[in-house]
Amino acid sequence: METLYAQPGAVGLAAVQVGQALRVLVLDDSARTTRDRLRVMVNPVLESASQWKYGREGCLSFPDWLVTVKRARRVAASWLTVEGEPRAAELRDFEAVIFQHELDHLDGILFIDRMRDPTRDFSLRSGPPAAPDTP
Amino acid sequence: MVKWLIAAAGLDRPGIVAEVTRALLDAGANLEDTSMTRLEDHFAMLLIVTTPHDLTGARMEELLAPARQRFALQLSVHPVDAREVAGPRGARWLVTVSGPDQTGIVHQVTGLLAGRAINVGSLSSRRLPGDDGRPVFLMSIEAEVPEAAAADLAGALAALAQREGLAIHAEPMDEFRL
Repeated sequence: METLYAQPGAVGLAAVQVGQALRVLVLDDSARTTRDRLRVMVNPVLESASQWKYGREGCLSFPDWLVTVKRARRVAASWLTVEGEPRAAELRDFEAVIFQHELDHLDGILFIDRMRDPTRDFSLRSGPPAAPDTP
Repeated sequence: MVKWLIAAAGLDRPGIVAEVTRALLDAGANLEDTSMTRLEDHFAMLLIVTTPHDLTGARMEELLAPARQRFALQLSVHPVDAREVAGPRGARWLVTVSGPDQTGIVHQVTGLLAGRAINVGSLSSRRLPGDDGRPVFLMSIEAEVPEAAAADLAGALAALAQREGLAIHAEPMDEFRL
């Protein structure tokens, strides 16, 4: 949580991104630090998914990359709280996308692994590279 | 440094890309963005390349001549302005169109986009046999939609779809900062 809120605009983080081999993720789709929308999920499970759409995603682990990925805009998720209480919710839109992105981290899948075609689906926030020097 | 736009097309056979790019390598060219694909029985190549600035158009044509002759290619080579690459002009949208094949589909859809100053970033289409023997036309467009054009775009495309008997799906590609 501290790492999530230390990154301006960050909305989700998986434990493996901060060196912890735990099936834990945090998400907060408000991108603010008030923690009203914070969810801490232990052993999260994607129960069902629908309304698939393409979108462009960044990732805290690759700050300059933008990748086009197809994600469900409705997911049913279940998880345990830190205290071990079972929870379930339907997540929508941005929150659903964050959940899938972070859950992928826990399964060793990066957003680039979900890319269909790098010549079309990959771009840099900083724009294309300058032409190489040719004599 | 000179930037060139090269277009080549001919009946599809193994070796077209290898021969054309060998000639470009001999010209000292660096390949930048390219699009090469088979269109029915033909293979079409579009390439942006940069070369040292002392390379003339005549020399470029001369280097490409063996590939052109071997594969009977239609070939064109033009120097282009080496401008900075422009970023997208607006939000990215995906537009997919399908329906019974008829003349005018691409023009109708892209005319609607052009009328709203919407730039087409990529477009590809295929004609497939339909279940009932009537060919089906499929088209996929990635477009850059200025903010002012976004509000009524879906409605305008829906009206066009209704009028022309097409299925048109258009949606902005969300950008997520994770």
